Amino acid sequence: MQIVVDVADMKLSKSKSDVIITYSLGSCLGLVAYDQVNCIGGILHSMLPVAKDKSEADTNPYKFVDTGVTYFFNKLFEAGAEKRNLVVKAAGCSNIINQGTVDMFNIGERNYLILRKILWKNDIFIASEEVGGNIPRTVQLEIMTGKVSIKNAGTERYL
Amino acid sequence: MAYNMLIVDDSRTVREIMKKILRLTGIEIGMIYEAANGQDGLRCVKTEWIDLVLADINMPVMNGVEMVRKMSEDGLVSTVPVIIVSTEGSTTRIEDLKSKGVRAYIRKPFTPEEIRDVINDVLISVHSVTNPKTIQKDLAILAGAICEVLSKYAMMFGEFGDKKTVFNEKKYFQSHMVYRGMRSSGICINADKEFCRNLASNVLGIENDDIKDENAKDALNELLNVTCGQYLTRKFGETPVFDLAMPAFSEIDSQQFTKNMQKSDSIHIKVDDLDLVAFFKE
Repeated sequence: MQIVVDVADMKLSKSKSDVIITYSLGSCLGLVAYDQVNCIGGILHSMLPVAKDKSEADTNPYKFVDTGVTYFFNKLFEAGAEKRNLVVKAAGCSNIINQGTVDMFNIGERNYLILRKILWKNDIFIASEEVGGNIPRTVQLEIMTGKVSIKNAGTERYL
Repeated sequence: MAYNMLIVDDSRTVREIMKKILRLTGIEIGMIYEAANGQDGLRCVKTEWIDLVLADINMPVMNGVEMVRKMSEDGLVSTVPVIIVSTEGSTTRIEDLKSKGVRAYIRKPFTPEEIRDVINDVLISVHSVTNPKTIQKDLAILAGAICEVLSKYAMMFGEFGDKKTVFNEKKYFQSHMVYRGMRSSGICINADKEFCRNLASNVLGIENDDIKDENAKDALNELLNVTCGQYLTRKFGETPVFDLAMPAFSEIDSQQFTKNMQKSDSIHIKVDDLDLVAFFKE
């Protein structure tokens, strides 16, 4: 079954027939985590780096990278994933050019830096990544194999 | 195998970062030694067993370039891989360090993942027995070395190739030794007890009936010892320095012998209808 992750959301699965996908990551972060032993994985799709308003973060923690990553990992651990087995991959965080102007706020880069900070503080390496640039990306995770693919402009590659 | 690491940097912060990265790499780490300058680093390399050095360039007392130069003079750079992690950007300096044997260079600032990748690459290149093609090639070199030693030492003809399975109740001898240096691994030889008796008889030049088990055991250990030196010379040339441990001896049964023979990373040598199996074992 295909499970779609919307913007400011996350989905995880332990069913081997599932494929999790999130479309059109621009400056948003697409974070993929997969427990290669227990075959549990998920994708987080966060929009903004930091929740400045606590109530907004409480309503939807996945909207922000700082709260989203923490919630995402906690949900994975509740589902049975173990930290030592996790393979973490990052995508997105690009600097999308919109109508000829570059994103002045550097949201993509800030998203990426917040992610790196959280992972480093929690002793987690990024196994591989495709971040930055100015292209939108669609990211997909196969639960059976843990394979992560990225699609954009008609091309597909494994991460 | 657990790797002993040495971090040479005058910044305590950088040393802490490096220690954390090393712990996160998943590489089996033994000791992590620290030094705040090249002089202390050099002393550590000379007194402790170090498998990898991560060193800065600009440090008080003795800088990283001087440390590498002294290590190079003492032949230590060929046996202990060094990775330079520094803000230094001069291409000439980097090329000079690489010509002295430095394995890799990482420019500060770095991401933890960059350090991890370089450490992995260096350790794989130094201790590469993971690639199946390399193993097969190395096994052929090892078998060639054994046959040469058998021929010169014991006037015995060995040929290697097809594996065969042996089922009998005989006892087998096993000798194992470790070498450490620019690459580290272990070599193990399993042999038919009868073969070891013949080997001892030929090496010592006395009749087979006069051979005791002790002689057979010593002969196998000696075969492995000389083979190990011959293998390293064939594989790495004359220059590199290796530390060879004493061969360790044990007796195994036919079941274990057959199991070792069937391993994909073992090679079977036939000597006058007797069996010998060699493989790499850390």
